[in-house]
This record gives sequence, structure tokens and C-alpha cells, in this order.
Amino acid sequence: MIVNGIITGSIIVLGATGLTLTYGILRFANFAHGDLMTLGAYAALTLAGMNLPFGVVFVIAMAFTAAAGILLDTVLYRPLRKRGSIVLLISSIGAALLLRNLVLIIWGPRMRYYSQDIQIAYMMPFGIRIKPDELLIIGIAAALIVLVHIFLKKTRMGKAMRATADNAELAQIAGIDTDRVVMWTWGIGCALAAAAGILLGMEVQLRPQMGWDILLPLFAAVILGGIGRPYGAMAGGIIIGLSQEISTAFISTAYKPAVSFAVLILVLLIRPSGIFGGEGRWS
Amino acid sequence: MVIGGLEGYLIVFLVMSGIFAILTLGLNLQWGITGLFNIGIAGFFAVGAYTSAIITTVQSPDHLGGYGMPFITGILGAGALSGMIAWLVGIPTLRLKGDYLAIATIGIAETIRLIFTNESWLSNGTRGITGIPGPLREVLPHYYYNLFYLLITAAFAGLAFLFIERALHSPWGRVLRTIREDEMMAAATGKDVFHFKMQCLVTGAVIMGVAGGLYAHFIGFISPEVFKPMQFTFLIWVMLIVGGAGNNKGAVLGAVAVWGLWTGTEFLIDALELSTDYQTKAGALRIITISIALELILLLRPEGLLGETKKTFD
Amino acid sequence: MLHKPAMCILEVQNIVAGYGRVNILHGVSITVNDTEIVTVIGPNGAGKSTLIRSVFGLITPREGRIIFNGEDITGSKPSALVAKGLAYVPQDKNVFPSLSIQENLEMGAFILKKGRRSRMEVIYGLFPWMRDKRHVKAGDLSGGQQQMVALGRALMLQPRLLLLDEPSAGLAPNMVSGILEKVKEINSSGVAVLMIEQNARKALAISGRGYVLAMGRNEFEGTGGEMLNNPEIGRLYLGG
Repeated sequence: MIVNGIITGSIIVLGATGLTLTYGILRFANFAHGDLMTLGAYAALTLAGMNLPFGVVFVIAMAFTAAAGILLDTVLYRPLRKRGSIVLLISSIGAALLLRNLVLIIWGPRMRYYSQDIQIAYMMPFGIRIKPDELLIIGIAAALIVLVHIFLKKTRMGKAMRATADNAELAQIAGIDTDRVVMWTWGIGCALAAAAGILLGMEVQLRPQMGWDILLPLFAAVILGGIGRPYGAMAGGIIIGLSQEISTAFISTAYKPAVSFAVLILVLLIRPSGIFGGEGRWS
Repeated sequence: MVIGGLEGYLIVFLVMSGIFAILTLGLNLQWGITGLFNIGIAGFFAVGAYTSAIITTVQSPDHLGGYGMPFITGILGAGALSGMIAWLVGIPTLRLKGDYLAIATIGIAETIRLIFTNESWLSNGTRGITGIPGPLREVLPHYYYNLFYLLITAAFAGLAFLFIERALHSPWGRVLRTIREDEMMAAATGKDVFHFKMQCLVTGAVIMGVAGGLYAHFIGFISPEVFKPMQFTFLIWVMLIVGGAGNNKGAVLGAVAVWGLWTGTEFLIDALELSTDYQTKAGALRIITISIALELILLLRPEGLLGETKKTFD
Repeated sequence: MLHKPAMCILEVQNIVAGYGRVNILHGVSITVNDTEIVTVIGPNGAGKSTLIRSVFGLITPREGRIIFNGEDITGSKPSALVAKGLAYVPQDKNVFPSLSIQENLEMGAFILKKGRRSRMEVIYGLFPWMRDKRHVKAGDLSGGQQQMVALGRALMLQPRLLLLDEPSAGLAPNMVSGILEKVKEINSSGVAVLMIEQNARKALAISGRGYVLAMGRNEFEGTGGEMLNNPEIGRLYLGG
């Protein structure tokens, strides 16, 4: 159960990190994030069908989704930016539905799988049983998180992104090219979304609703960790993943999504800036 | 009975438009006038529908019921319970800022849907509740029942419209609009903002609950599938935005226009007689059409078809 | 040292500017020479911040022109102005709280392709205490320290003109002198300063010239000494 929590948690961490980056830097809740995950997962499905190596599939799908996100911003979000975060939220819901149904049309409504092989679980210390795919999920998620960490900490653009998340006007005042920051934010945010989507598809299956269904837990993780705080999102993701799995011991599994919602409400009532958040940033 | 096939279809269309108009009016009160970001419409609608169904249906082993109350009691109960749920929901969430409120209301709608899906003792789960009675349903033949129901729906829609129009022009409405414009200013004038927001949320929810009840008695059958939060709620939002947020006539116009677009595309697709796979895909195409309509309106004519009612009452 | 004739580096010509439908400035003009410190004082709401923000391109003036270094920069965007040698330190929220001191400084030199390290050394020379604390998050610093980090960030690109909005705001009285001393030091290294200050006396004491702004208009102009010695100004704006 704990293992399942960590697996789900890893996926949520990846999704939430991408989401917290766009939420923190672009200052609106992008409800299309889940469906960008779906897009990435399905893109990988097609690529996998071309018999490309796994790593290549991953990278191309991430790049593709990054491009899709940048396109979405250019066409839809950028013209609407001056109208405020509520309008952007509404438009992002429209975008979400658009993406989801495009996926449905292109790939069909039935469930799909990356591979039909049944996997035998490994036996690990402490009597934990884990399948090779599941290990891969945790491994890839961890690797990507480390890469994001290095990017944010060490590169000039990464620092500029953190600065813009802290104080967008000051970033402008300091001379930071905020347009480029926005582009990079979408690129990385959506690439992470694609990765999360692929891992989700590996863990369960692919269906057009997959991204949307995980969106509420993603937001819960983002808000729990503090909007715009990637490390908070990482912690939040693990917590949400674990609490969802642990809850199945007490309540029916059908109510799993309600668990993250309950956590969300608790956070919003007790400490809306999140467990790591310092300042409430939104007006 | 094939009396006036097209006419019959038109009546069904108008009844549904009326129900949607009521929902959109409720949203207009919450969002258009007061600025409450409610993405949980489907939840209130579902509560209203199920409440009315449970109050009025006969005894059944599949679900809660057996009270056999008349139609109007069902409708009143629908509104009342929906309002109560709104009140409960509002206590923790109304102090939240815009997008937080949105996320919270989605969660609530989802939870409500989960409850109706899983608590079979209450709602018969995914199989839904059938045989919901309606006023004079046993007495009138199908076509005339629908016509009668159209009158009932129009009456409720008219009531809702008049009520919200009066409210808009009243001192209460002025406070609500101030809250939308600048919440801090409203608080500075000494008004208990939370109180007003709650009143608005509950009133809107009552209206939405009534719409739910009307729906249940019209169709005669409900299941959690009908209330798929995102699609459903999204449709209402598009209706309001297309018509013009803040404008009651816009709300009604938007409801009719978007419902027309929605069923029009359904008509088209039915006529094509596609295989099941293609049907689902065609359904997806309809949603894409509505989404694109929304984005275009947001980008090109954000005030909607009828535009926001100009401040003629200040 | 040869005495260089003072050159006018900033000329604000009769600007009208404001927010939304309201105009705050109703035709304000000031000049700043390339070697001096100019302080603008006046009551709250006089438009001092609006003036500085208009110069830096955060507000576009509705009328009038702004000439910097001989070039018309009216309405230019901040990112362009930073490259031309203008720098601005807002009154508050002027550091990136989750970034370290060093990273804050780095962001000040974002557009620099290279030479960041040597510039940072200069800033550490100006504020020696920062060197040891350079990995501390700016949000964990005291108010006075944050002000200095904000100043340092603005200096990273070697600006010709520094725009300061109340550098002593929120500081304890003994810190106020400290920060103004630093401003004087910065100025003597060749950076012109246009400053808004509530601590008018102390600011005028280090300034070459000053302006009084009230209700969005020029009320008075003179050298620092003139303004300090003027009884009218002393009564109205300097606290007697």
C-alpha cells in the first residue's frame, strides 16, 4: 500500500511540479494541465508504435507536449493575460475540453496500453513487492525531479524563473526578459506534464479522461506545497499520493479523489499559503 | 405517438432550454452579478434532481424513496436541500479567493457525484432512478404532457427571471454588484461581505436545485452520468458567457443559443447514422465545437452577445 | 582630477501621467545632471512615486517627454531602459525573497553575457557584509539588509542613473543615515541619483539639488542647501 502510494505520489509529483511552475509564474490555474498530460501520454503511444527505443519516445513526447503548451499560450492565453486570472481559468477549462476531445477523436475512446505484457513482481527487502515497471516509474520521476532541481538552482533561466515567480514586476524592473521566461515555463511545465502522463499510462492505462481525473489531486498537491514552490509541490505530491492510498484502508476506493479534495479544503482553511509558502501571493 | 414530430421535438427543445435558462440565471446571480466563481453547478443540479426524485417516487428496493409526495413538494424540497448543501459548502469556502473557490467547487461537485454513484442505497448507483412521476403524467398523453410541462417550466423560468431582475435593481443587488467590482470597497462600507456572498450562493443554489427537480420530472429518469460535472457545468458557463455575464436576458438567450448549438449538432450526427465508435467521436466533435465557440467569444467579444447590463442603476 | 562640465543626463519635460482615469501628475518637469544627487520631496500623494515610475517606463505618460542621455525614452519598456543605463529600486518588495543574495545580484545582471563575476565583486566591495552571507535567502534578511541588496542588484549593470524610491523606508533611524551614506558613496563613484525620500532633511543634506512636488505639480526647486535653509520649506515639508 505504501509502495502504491509512492508510485502514485511520484506521478503526482511530476504533474504538480509542472503545474506549480505555470501557476506560480503565469499566475493562473491552468485547468488544461491534466489534459496536456493526456496529450503527452498518447503522443508517446503513437511513438512507441513506431518501434523507437523507450528513451527516445519519452524525450520526443515531452518535446511535443512542450511545443503544444507554448502554442496554446501564444494563441489563447497570451491575448487573454491582461483580462485577469479568472478569465484565463475559464479559457483553460475550454482548452482542457478541447484537448481531451481531440485525443478522443484521434486515438479513440477505448482504453489503450503501452504494452500487453504481464509483469512479475520483484521481491525486495522488507517484504515489498514491486514490478519492474513500477520501479522504472519511481526512477524516472526521481531523475526528472533532480534535473528540474539542477535547472532551477544552477542555470540562469532557472533562476530567472524563480525570480519571476517571486515577483514578476521586480523581474521586469531588473531587466529579465519575461517573455522568454514565460516560454521556458510552458516548455518545462508541459514537458513534465507529458512525462507524468506517460508514467500514469504505464501505471494504469491510457484513456482520454486520464489527465482530467488526476487534476484535482494535482491542485491539492500544488496548494499544499505552496503555489510556485517546486519543492513544495514535490512534498505535496508524495503526501497526496500516500494519503490517497492509505485512505483505502478506511473508506471505499471509489472515494479516492475525494480524499485529495478533503486535504485541499483543510489546507485552504488552515494554511492557505501551503506548508512551505511564506507569502500569500494573490490579490 | 407521432403527432407533429417536429413540433414535438421543438417542445422538448424548449423545455430543456427553459431548464438550462433557469440554471444559467442562477449562475448569473452567483457569478455575473456577485462574482462568485462556482464550478460546482452540476452538484447543486444533481442534488435537486435526486431530492425531488426521492421525495416523489414510490417505494422501491433499489433506492431511497417511497414518500410519494406530489410534484410541487418535490420541487420545493429540491430547492431547499440544494440551498442547504450550498450553505454547508459555503461556510468553509466562501472566504477563498477566486481560483481557490473554483477548485473547491469542482471538488464539491465531484464528491457529490461520487456519493450518488456509490451510495446505491440512496440513489441506486449508476443504474439511476426511473419512473419519476410528473404532474398529470399519468393522465396526459405524451405530447400534451410535454406541452403542459413547457408551461410549467416557462412559469418557473419567468419567476426566476423576474426575481433576479428585481434583485438586481434592489439595494441587495447593489451590494452584490459592489462585491464583484471591488470586494474591499464593499467591506469598507461596513457590509458583512461574507453574509451577502452566502445569501447569494444559497439563493443561486436553490434556483439550480429547482432546475434539477424540473429536469427529473420531465425526463422521468436520472443517473449520475447526466451530471458529469465538467461537461455539464462547462455548458452552463458557456451559456452565460455567450449570452453576456451580468445580464439576465443574456443568460436566457445564451441558454437557448448554446443549447440550440448543442442539440443541433446532435441532430446532425444522429442523421448521419454512424457506428458506435464514430458516434463517440462525433460527440467529442460537438464538445470541441462548443469549446471553440467559448474561446472565440472570450477572445473577440468577451462581453457576450448582449453585453453586460450597463450601470444604469447607480 | 580635471573638472568635467556637468551634463544633463535626465530631463523630464512637463509630463502628465496617472492610473486609470485619474491623472496624478499635471505637468511636472525636472532635470538631473550626470554627477549629482537630486532628491524629490513632498506630501503623500504628491505624485513622487508616479514620477519615478513614469521615468522608468512602468507608466506611460499621457503628455510630455522624458529624455535620457540625449535620447527620447518616453514610454520605453523597463527591459530596454535597463540596457541603456537606467536602474530602479522600488520602495518595497524590492528583492526576490526566495533567492539568495548572490542570486538576487545575478538577476540584476541578467542581460549581461559575461563579466557578472567582476561586477559582483564590486558590489561586495561596496557592501562587505554581503560576501559572507551571499547564500542566505534575501527573504531572511532584515529590512536594512534587504534595502542594500536591492541597491546592489540595481548597480550590477553599472547604471548611469539610479532611481530610488524611499531607500530609507521602514528602516530604524540609525540605519537611515547608513543607507544614505551608501547612496553618497555610490554617487561619488560616478552614478547620478534621482531619489524620493520622506527623511527629507537627511536626504537633502547629501543632495546637490532638490525639488518639492505637491498635488502633482512642481512647487519648488533649489540646491540642497537652499532648501534646507528655507524656513517655508522647513515648516511645510521638513517638520519644522
